Amino acid sequence: MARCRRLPWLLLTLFVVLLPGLALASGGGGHGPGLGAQLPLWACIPFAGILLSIALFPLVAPHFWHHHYPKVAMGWAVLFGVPFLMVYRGQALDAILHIYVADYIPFIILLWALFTVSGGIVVRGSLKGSPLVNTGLLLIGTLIASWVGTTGAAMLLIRPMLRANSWRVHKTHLVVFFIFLVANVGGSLTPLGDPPLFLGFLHGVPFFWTMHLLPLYALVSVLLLVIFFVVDTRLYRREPADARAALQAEESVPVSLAGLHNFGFLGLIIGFVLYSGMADHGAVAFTEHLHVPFQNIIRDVGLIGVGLAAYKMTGDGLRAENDFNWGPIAEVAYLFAGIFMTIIPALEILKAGSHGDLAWLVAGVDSDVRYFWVTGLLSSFLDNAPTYLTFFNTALGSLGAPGTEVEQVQVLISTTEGPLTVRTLMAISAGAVFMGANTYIGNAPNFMVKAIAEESGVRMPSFFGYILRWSLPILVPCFVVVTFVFFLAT
Amino acid sequence: MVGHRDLQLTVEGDEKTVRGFFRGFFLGRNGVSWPLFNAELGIAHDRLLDAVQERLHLRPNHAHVIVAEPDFEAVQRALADPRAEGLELVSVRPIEGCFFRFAAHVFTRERADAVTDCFVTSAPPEVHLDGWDPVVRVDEDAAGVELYSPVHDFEWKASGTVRGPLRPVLAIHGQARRDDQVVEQPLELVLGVSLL
Repeated sequence: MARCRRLPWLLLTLFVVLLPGLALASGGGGHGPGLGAQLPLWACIPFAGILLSIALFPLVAPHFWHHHYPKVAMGWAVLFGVPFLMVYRGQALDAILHIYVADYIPFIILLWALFTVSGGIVVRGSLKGSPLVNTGLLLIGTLIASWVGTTGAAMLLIRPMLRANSWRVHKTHLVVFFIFLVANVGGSLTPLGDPPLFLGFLHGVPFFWTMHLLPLYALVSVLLLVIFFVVDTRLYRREPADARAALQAEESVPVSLAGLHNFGFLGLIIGFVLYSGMADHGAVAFTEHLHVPFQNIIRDVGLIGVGLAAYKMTGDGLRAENDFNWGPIAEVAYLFAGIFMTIIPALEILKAGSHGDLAWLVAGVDSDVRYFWVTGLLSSFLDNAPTYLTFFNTALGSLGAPGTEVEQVQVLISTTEGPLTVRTLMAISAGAVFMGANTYIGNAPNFMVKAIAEESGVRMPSFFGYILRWSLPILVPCFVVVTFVFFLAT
Repeated sequence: MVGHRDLQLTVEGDEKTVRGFFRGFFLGRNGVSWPLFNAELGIAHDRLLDAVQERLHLRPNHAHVIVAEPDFEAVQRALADPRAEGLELVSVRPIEGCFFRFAAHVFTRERADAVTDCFVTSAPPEVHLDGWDPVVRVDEDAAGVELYSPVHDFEWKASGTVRGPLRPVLAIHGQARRDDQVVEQPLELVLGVSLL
């Protein structure tokens, strides 16, 4: 019921940010190339505000945030949107319509479809939580996360992982490595895996380009799995001997998957996304400056159909076993409605490159190593999707190539020599996806996994405990290795 | 050995050798009673200084073993045997009682019930619980999983100090050690004067 009561806030947010713009649409104005050069840096304050709200409120005022985040998101959106429209009129309208139609709506539709489909797949049965079984579970999660999304993979596997280890005293490390691998690193191979990569796809990065991250993904995954196996083996040996003996004697229920038809729907989702990246049926002109490729419309309608069909054809019982509800997707819808509005000045200024107020950032982030670490460190503390988009635009702004955004991306990914190359986009993508694991607030599923684990009796570290005891000693050295192997050695 | 006092023996010697000696000795006595080793049970050192000195190897290692009083004479004889070379009985102190502090933070009613059962419902009458005043926060609106606004719909915190005779308190301490969401401090013994 709480979610239903919040629906008006979402509609109001969209109404406030879109309708004044539509009213101005008749005034025209055009989306001039100079918007990024005109906008002052302080126009980015609402963007910083909404990202910091997402980062800090769950830590300092969780109950307030839980009940009022739609209002907070709307507040930041209005704070930027209304003056923006009043001052820049037609240009502002074009920018707003473009980001909602080209980014926000497809983004939400894809996440909703993936969430609905993966929420109907259930892993049943009992596994015996030995180091080998746990490593296997993490490996499976790491492998499927790129295809069902990190949220979907986490939702699918966290409960079986916890069930398998319910007898154990030492469980914290299991959940922490689950966050590292399944909720983050595992999502780096396709645009379906993690929201930043899907945003890249929406901005012209080819679907299979993300496979360029395979060597990085493999290296980090293997390192983490080996470390996990060693840590888990040591802790397994410290478990009470009687509990280990009881586990061996316990009759195991064979592992099975229910809701298998949802894998078919998952295939359809992949198919629709692939299709939109490969087909070219021209574009539909919504306004003078807003042209949406027809294949993207087919993709989004198709994804809605897939989601609805999956929902209809999957019994409520299966979803209940996953403790499924619409809460997570509603949160994404509300918050990203605000994020996409407030990110406009940052993106426009970055696109302006040396002509914008963020020229210092564009000039300062000038190597793959810096792109990797700056994108990564900001992704650790701010949501990684908008952070990715910010540095994606920083790179395009630095590139200064002529043409549309898609053409600029093509130039970037086909360049192998010079300060900005295909490795730059690899650095941004890997930084955003991998380093979302550095903190609880780096990537959306982290908090979800933490909460589910706590409700299952696992003592999870505090915000800073997670960073000091786990991220800094384990993840950061892995990322240093990635830096040397992939961004410094070449 | 119910009804008998427990004694804490301090034995100078390598910890593993002491454990091996006592286990072998009690097995040889048909295993009717069994020694307890402080280091295995998470029992705090008598003094912080002792722990520091031992860790820094500033003095010979002292292993602490708990045996029931009726077994003591036989143990003493065995330790005095010349074949028990390298082991020396340093002190023997009766255990008057013991206590430990704990704090729990759980997120479901079932888990809260389990913790309550451990410390309150199932605790024997001779065990006392000080400072038990659980705090519950229920937010029905927060049911279900969240990605960006994570709040538990049920949150329960409790803390306290468990006091009483060694064996029942030890049993509760052992149970608490197996619960990941209960943070228990090391067990502290209340010792009488040395019998040596």
